[in-house]
Amino acid sequence: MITKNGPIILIDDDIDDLEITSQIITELGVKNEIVCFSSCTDALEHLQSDKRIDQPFVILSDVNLPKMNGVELKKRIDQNDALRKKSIPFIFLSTAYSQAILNEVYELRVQGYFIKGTTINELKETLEMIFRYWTICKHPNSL
Amino acid sequence: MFLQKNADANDFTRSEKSAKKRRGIRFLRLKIGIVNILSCPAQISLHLLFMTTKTGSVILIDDDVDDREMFALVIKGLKIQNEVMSFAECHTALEYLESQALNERPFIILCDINLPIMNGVAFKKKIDENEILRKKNIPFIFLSTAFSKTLLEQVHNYNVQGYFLKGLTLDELRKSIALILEYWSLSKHPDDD
Repeated sequence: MITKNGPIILIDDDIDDLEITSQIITELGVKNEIVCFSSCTDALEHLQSDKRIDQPFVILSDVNLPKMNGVELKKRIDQNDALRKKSIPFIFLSTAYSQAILNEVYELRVQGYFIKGTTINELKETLEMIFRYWTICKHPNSL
Repeated sequence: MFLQKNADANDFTRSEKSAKKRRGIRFLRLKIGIVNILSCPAQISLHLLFMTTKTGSVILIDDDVDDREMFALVIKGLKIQNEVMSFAECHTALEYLESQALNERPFIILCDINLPIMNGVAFKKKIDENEILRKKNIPFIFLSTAFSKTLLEQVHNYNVQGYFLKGLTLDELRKSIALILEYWSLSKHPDDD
């Protein structure tokens, strides 16, 4: 289904959520490698140290995380010239939202903010749509 | 005599070609007509249940009249409640957005890239330079007929929300537009509550 080969970066401090999300992605028939992180610090370290040419397909991150939250991670990515130029679609996947957090998030020009939903099916439908969107979307690193 | 015959043969192929071309055009018209009537399969109408949750207008910029008509057809087929505002030029679209700065936020901007005077990239820059417009955080999506690596690099550097191809058929365009509208309907926005 997915033609873009880069890994999918998943960030969530809830290990159960990480497992459920990656299982759903596999069930959707997505062949991309799934790289999971339970903290933004680890994710940023990985993204910065990744000297390989490969381009992550998307970053799906929770918002509320201890130490460095999702908003801070996106800011750090934009501050890093090499990372920013990769223009990796950055999508928030959260259980909740408030106007304050949404204002902060959109100021960063993210590529979406989705609610995980209360059932697995809801999450599955949302993820399926996100992947469909970014598969069809033309991106410099998918050429 | 031989030459004459040859010329006839050429004429024949030419006229056959133009007849084929005419048929092709007629077929395309027919196809548009059918799509217009049957363009709302069950799957699409389901998406429309939440389509109404975002009330702002859909802003469309394209200098090609035929393409604007195609969009109108597709969007009509999707039975969207949102108002659709079409513009042939970016500067008139910008004028409109600026005049509406204190009013409601448009739902989404769908913009062609190659446009005379002000192209899509310059238009996006202008929006970001305007404090009020920038803070409206309107999803900005490019819809184009072509792409190149340089162009995509330039475009994605602005943190846009997508770059899609119009596709070769009306059906392809319909699928892309439905997906774009579905995605941004579902994505939470500060103005949602």
